[in-house]
Amino acid sequence: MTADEAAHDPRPTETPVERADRFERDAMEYLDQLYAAAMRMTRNPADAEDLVQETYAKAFSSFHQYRPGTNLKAWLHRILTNTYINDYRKKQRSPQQSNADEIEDWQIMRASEHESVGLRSAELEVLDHLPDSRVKQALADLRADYRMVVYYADVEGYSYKEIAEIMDTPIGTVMSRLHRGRAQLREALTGQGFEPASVDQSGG
Amino acid sequence: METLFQQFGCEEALPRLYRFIDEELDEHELEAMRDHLDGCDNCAYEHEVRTKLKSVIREACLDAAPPSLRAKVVDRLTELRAGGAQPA
Repeated sequence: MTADEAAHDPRPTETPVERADRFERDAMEYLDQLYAAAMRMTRNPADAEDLVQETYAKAFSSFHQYRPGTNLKAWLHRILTNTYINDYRKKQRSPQQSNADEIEDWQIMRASEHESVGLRSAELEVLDHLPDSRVKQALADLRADYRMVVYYADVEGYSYKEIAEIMDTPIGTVMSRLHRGRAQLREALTGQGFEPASVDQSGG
Repeated sequence: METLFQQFGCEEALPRLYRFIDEELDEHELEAMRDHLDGCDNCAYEHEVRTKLKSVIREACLDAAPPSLRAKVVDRLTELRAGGAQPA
């Protein structure tokens, strides 16, 4: 914690009641964002509501660990993610994990180089007219770890570093899951995905 | 050591395209990336599709919580507080 943050840290002087009030006031602001993330993870409203309630209860109990001045929404998403992995995902059938999830970056080989301008704009046209329900279904069909990374990057706009902290994985794993998840989504939604060609050594 | 001025071909630009869209490139890479996209139709097209895909996902997933959920969470917290639990 910096001196500046410490100066604004209310924790040493506030009463338990004040701290509980502060939690309710600040954390409840992110209910929609936690619910939307929970919906993507659990894929059904009943489990999503349970997950959100459990997340708030856990966050309340460990609110002393939250450092004022840091990103509260990301802190809550981290608790949500852990709770999902520990309590809910066990109940759902685990997707097959493969060794392909190791840290790597991809070079993309595009079919588009050989396509006409018409086919290209067709892909954009398709994306422009997709109903939300199809996008949600395509996300739901992804592996859970791909789905969550795509959600945090594209919907919440978290940086790779923030996602790595939320999901407790290296940044390289975040990037690799993002590439794969997005490639699968594009394939599912436009039928014109691209093929991973070779491991990129230059991107770093 | 990287030189200050870089020029990207497709083989440098494509593997960085997601990081460009996600605003994860450093300033030198950014400059080289913009230069490349200005002159390369294929990469500019990839950029357009991937940017569109990102926004389509974002817009599809902005779910609001059901109104009853807020009350359930507040009830749960009230129970915790009544039971003597405080955020430690």
